[in-house]
Amino acid sequence: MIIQCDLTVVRDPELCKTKGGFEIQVPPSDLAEQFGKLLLEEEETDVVFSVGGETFPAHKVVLAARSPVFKAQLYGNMKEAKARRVAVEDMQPGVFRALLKFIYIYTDALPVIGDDNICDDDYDEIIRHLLVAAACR
Amino acid sequence: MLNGGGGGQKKRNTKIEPYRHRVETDPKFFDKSWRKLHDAIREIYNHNASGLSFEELYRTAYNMVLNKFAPQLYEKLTENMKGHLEEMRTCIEAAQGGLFLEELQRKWNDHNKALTMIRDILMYMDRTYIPTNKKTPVFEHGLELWRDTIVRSPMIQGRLFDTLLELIHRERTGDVINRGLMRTTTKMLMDLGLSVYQDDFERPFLEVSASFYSGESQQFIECCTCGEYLKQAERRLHEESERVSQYLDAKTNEKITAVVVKEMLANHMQRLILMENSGLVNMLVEDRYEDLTRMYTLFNHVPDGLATIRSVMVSHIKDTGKSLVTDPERLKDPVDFVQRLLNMKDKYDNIINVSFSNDKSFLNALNSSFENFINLNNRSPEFISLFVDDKLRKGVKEANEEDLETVLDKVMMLFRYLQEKDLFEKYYKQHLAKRLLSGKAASDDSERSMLVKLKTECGYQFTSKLEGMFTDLKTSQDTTQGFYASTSSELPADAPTMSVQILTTGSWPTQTCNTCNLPPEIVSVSEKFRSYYLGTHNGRRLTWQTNMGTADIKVTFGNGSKHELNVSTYQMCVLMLFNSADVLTYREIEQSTAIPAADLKRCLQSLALVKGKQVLRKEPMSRDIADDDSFCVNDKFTSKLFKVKIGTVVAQKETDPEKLETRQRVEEDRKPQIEAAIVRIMKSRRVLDHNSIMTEVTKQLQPRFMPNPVVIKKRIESLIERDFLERDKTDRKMYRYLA
Repeated sequence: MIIQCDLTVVRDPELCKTKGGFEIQVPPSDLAEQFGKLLLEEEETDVVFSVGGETFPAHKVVLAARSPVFKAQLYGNMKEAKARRVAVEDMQPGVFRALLKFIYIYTDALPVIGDDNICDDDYDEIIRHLLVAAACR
Repeated sequence: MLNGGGGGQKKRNTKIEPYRHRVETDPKFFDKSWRKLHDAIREIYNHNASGLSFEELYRTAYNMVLNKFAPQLYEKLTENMKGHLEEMRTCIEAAQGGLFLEELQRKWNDHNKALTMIRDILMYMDRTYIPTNKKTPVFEHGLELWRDTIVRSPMIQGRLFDTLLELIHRERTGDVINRGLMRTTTKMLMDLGLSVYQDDFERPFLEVSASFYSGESQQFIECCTCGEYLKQAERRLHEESERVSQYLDAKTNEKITAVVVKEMLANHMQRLILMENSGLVNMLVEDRYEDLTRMYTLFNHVPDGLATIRSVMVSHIKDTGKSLVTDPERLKDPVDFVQRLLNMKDKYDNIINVSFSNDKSFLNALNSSFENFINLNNRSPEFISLFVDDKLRKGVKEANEEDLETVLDKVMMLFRYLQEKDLFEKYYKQHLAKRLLSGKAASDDSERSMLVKLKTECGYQFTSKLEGMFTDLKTSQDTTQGFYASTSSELPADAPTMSVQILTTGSWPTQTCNTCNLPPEIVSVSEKFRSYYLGTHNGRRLTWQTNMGTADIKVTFGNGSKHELNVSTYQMCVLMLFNSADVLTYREIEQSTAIPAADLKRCLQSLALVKGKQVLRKEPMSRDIADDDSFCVNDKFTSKLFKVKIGTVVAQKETDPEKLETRQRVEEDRKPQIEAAIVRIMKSRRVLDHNSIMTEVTKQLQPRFMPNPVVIKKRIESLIERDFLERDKTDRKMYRYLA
């Protein structure tokens, strides 16, 4: 009698493992800084606000995106929609400037306004108006 | 705590306090402010908004809210808008005829634009006062005022819906209407709230539609054929879906479809389906696939629609099938009979496939219908077997192998319907035996293919005997070869060549054993074969079946013509007598050959009375054969062919006595099968009541035949007598298994 044995050896495949774990480093957002620059350098503005004798160039699309009130004013059916110069009454120029900074730069925190020569009374009013403006977001 | 930006700056100590705005002290503040807004709103409604200052108006409303005048502002706003809407209503009501919807639409657009601007001016109130006090927001409030002041005003509401429904009616009757205007009007209703659209338009629309289609269906059903009516109904359904997509709310589609289906189809379902000369039955008879498809598709929407169609189809198939299988004229030609069944099956398979979406419930209905009527004729098993016999004899002569395979597959469908498959088996065995023994089987492959189909369908046991038949033929060849190999030196040189088919008892159809007197020339060879066979197979018994078999005989007639005759064994026995006698009477032939009278007479008729095949002459030349009739060789016989075939044995439809005999044998064969089933059941159950035995025996034997309850009862009694079973002593309906 002849007995024949066939043996098959099965081994794990010898494949090189692919190194993973690549992470792309994304730089932190500087959106606020860039929008701040946009406001500061008065580039490509399409509307000018006249407040208490001072003028404030601005961008309609930014204001509309940030505030439904400005959107209704600048893209509605009344005269401001077609005007390049909009008069704002009953507001201090400094207050309006702070409002613009708030709209362009900040999302959560109240602004630090150290370099303006604003007296204490005006400063209090700024805070109040900013709160109101924030409520309209 | 907030810090200054630069070093050295004084630190501010700011505390956030509740908002305190400068309180307006002017007693006319509210009136002045409202006047400003009021005038602005008037300009807005007069399309003069472009001159207004949004900043001024927004600030005015803003300050009013801050100074706690929001409630008054909201109330004034409501009164003011209501006033404007009432002016609009007057204009709309004054619009003449066709301009009504246009004016309504124009004013609606104006109102929406105004509302958008007013909402923007009062945005601060919308965000503060209104949520706090649970008031309706400005825009929604404006819509509500429009709804209540205009849409639902007494003079406009009725007119609006009359106008809309009138326009829809005109479109239904073929006019072209302004769909864009319809679109904007219904969209207005939806913008006012889905309930406005549903309550103020959709519900009356559906009611009017029901009335319209009820009337139309009455009119059409009186003058249209069923097919024409259904085509119209289909067209209406498409039109209504189109209308919804054009200018109604999408959700209306389901509702209007239900209305059309109910009024045009459901309410007339019976009448349509059963319509004389054009209903479902006519469509089926005339293979009107398009109409059938439409009927199936449309009645799919109707509750019980398909069930009704299926029911009518079943009735029709059963009636048609019944008349086919019970028509005495049809029973004369079994092959034609089965072919008609196959054609009928093809027809309805086609209809279900093409028109009824291969609906499983229809296929099942078709199958049960065929099963129902095929078994109405208890000769169906025989006829199906004869059909198969016809195809397997012709084989590829008439059709190629593939076509033959297709036909056999279809025949198997009919076979599946038979309730008496054992009866089919009996006939199939007979017919197969004749094909095999007469060499008429056209194709061995086809025969075996058919056998495989039967085995697949019914199991090995069903075909084991049939396979035994093939085995016998193979063995017979080998045996005959062995015989001649071992005995060739012992046979005279002019001895006839013999080919023997050895048939195993039980595998082949039971045949009465008829021995006749073989010619001496044959006997000498056959006895040698017997000796050889019994010498090599100990303990076996060999019986000659002279009623089967064929012979080839070389003949020289008196006029000198030579022919080779192919005849049956019986015919050979008769013809060989004339080597030593010129004239023989019937009685003499019968005595010499010992062939049974019925067979002999048929044999002689084939030899003497068939035109073109008359190798014998008969005196007198009458059809009937009497004892004193005389026969002699036809010395004037002529034929164009050298080989002449006489009296081919062909499978024939059974005569009534033969049919009765076959059925009796089948019934007899069923008894042991029933007993075996009873014993198997009782052996596993040990104790079982009468009804359960009946049920289980029937279930077990159903694939082959439907057992007769009376027969089952008798077999139970027989088993009791033979001590396989006994009755329970306390309950006579209970049986116990013994042994």
